Amino acid sequence: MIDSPIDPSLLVNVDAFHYENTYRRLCHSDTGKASKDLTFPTMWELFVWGAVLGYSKNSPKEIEKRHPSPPFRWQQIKDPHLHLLIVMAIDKLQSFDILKQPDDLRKNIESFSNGGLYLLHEELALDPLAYQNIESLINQIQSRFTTQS
Amino acid sequence: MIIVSIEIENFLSYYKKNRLDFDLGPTVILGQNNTGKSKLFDAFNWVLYDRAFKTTEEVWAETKDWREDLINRKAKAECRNGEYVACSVCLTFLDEDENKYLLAREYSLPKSNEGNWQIPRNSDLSLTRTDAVTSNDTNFYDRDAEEQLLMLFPENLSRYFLFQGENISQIMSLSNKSAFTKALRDLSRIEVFEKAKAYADKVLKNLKRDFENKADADNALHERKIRLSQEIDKLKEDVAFQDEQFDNECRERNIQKEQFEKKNNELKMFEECAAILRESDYLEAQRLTKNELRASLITNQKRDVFDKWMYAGTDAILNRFLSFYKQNKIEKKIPEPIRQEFIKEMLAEHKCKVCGSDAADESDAYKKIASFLNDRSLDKEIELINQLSMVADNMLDKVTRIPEEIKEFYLSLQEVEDQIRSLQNKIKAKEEELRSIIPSGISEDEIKAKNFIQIQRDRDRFKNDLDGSESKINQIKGRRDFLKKELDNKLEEYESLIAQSSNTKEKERFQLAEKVNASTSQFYDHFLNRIISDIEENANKFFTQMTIKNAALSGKVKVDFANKEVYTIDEAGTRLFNINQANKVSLQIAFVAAVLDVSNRFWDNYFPFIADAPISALGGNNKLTAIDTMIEIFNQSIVILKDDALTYDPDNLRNDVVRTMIMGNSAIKNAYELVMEGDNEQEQHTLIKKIK
Repeated sequence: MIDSPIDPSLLVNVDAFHYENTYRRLCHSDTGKASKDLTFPTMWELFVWGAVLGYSKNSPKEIEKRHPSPPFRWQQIKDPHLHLLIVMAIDKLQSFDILKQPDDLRKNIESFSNGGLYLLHEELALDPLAYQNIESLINQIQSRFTTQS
Repeated sequence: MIIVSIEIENFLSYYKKNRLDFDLGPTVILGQNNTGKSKLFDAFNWVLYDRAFKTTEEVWAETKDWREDLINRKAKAECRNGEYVACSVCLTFLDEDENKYLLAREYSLPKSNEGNWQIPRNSDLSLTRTDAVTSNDTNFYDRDAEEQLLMLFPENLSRYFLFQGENISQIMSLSNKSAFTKALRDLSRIEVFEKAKAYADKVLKNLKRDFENKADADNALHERKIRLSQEIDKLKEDVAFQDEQFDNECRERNIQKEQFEKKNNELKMFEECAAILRESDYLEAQRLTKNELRASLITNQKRDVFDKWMYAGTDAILNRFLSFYKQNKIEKKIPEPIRQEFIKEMLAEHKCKVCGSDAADESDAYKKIASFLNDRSLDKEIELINQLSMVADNMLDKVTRIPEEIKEFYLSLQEVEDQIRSLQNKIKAKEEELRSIIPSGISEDEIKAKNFIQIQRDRDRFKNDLDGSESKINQIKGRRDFLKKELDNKLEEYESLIAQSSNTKEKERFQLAEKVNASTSQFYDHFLNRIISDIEENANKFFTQMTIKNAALSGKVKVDFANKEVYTIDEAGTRLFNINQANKVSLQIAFVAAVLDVSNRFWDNYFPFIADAPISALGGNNKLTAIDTMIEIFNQSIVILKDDALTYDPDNLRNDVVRTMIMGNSAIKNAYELVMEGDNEQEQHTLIKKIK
């Protein structure tokens, strides 16, 4: 697999709000549940899920307040996910030129992931109990946008 | 009588001045536990009758017993040495002729310079009457004010228009010393008949004595007459004794009944709570099992499908990307990557192998070929683009197969999640059900730990006592009937002796007195029965009003004055036992309304109905019916209700049936909510919020 233009050693920027409210709550088990049993065992998976949702819903959202110490690096996003995110970024911009601007590409993916997670947050705000049953909510959101698209 | 407003200052939980305005019609006041609902009811009682209910001792106590405790804690704490603090309640009301009254009761507590309270025994009462026509004021103080007040609000009726839900059984008792009998005397002015009856009795006794003292010509007849008279007197005494016994036993029975019902309700309530908790536990266990099932489904299959599933629905994006890629390819915007070795070959051979032209050293063609040398980024970018197209193509293939791949997983997950959701809803419903019946201050653990056997034993003991009391009543009734029959026989025999007497004058006077006495008794009984049947008729009118609206209520009201009880009967007139709580409360409200309605007729004025309502235990529709009845059947009603909504939860508050009813009922012009303000016990006091 060819390396992505994004410097793999860079940290992935996430919104401080989502880090506290979404990443930490969904990717950390406080019930002793093994992390592999979580819907999102790692934060990068949640990041990817958010980005896919953001691109699907065309819902980018600039990071308002960057988390001071982002929790993972681009190299942690496994194949083929990062490539698929780049595919979506190119599709969104309808230009391959973005590949020559790694910073813009990175920001684009980060903003769509942020937007996707914002949609998830809105759903969770409607039903705070859904945190306890996140798969069900993800399921609903997933099936909803599958139906819509 | 119409209550216009009440102003409460530093009285019990009320700090500083608080005012509630009322309308001709219903006013509803809501409050959670310990927010000052009962204290508001106390304020009415205190200003009118110098009494407030001590919940710890379950007794009504006067100012002299309450003393400094009547005054709000915070107000007392703020009182400086050498000053005084006072509590007061002012009631403004109108009579039927629209004369206005201002009634004020105040209790002042001076604090000495050394910081000691100087505690007076009594409160001060003042009543000002403002004439509706002349606007002239007349003032009355203390005893005079009390006398005036009792004419306006007779105390014997107060238990009915100041309706204290928790002690309802006391006003449902019909025994001789009961609140009902006292109210009956006040509302019917029956004492006039009682006096007539007493005079007739006295006259009869005197004339009987004259008749018996005068010897008859026939000595044997005279002796029989004397003997029989003594026997009759003795029998009358016995019957009166049995009557008294009967009344005492009825009172005793009512107490037993109240205790039994209280215990039975307690047991039923705890059993109901325990049953709900058991069902909740069962549902919770089921939910946990389903959760585990869902977790195992996810663990076993999620990883397989989730990686792809994340991209479900992205086929449009992937397709669009691939089209874009192909288009760029066609338009040659994406050149084929040029291998570095191939460039080196061309430079070495000085020939462009793409266009076939020569490329001598330093020529433009040579320079052009050389420009591609070491341009790894171009190679990489094109390779990446090609790679991306493969990744996209590959994912598109998977994405289109996602529905099939995950269908089974998705369906089983969906099914188990539906079950979990349904179980969660059931658990939530059980929690709400439990909250509606659980007494305040009792936790779920305490209910689980309750000793049902002990409560059951207590209940059974009360039941035995009650059964014993019922048998005793039957025994007394039997004995009394037997004695009455014997008395009737003796009286009949005595009548024949009177007829045989030769003392014409005494005989005639005695016979006349007997007739007067019988007529007076008949008149008294008729009048009493008339009132009772009026009350019964009215109670049925109100009860029917409630049964029409609520299918859960049934039967007819029976005011059984002979047996000193009020109960419901079926169409055939058979008494209904074990009636549910909704029926019981409705029966009580109907009875109270009937007593007030009849008294309104006798007194020619309407009493406001002020209720510390006992309807929290009633569920949804029954509760609304009860509130509806209270606000519909009285000219003016002030209904203080326990607020069962979760005020901290906006959703629950929005869906609260009582609030919805208050807002939707145009007859209700004023509604208030009582809340407890203050962070600690010392600071806490009632705050009145107007919600309508």
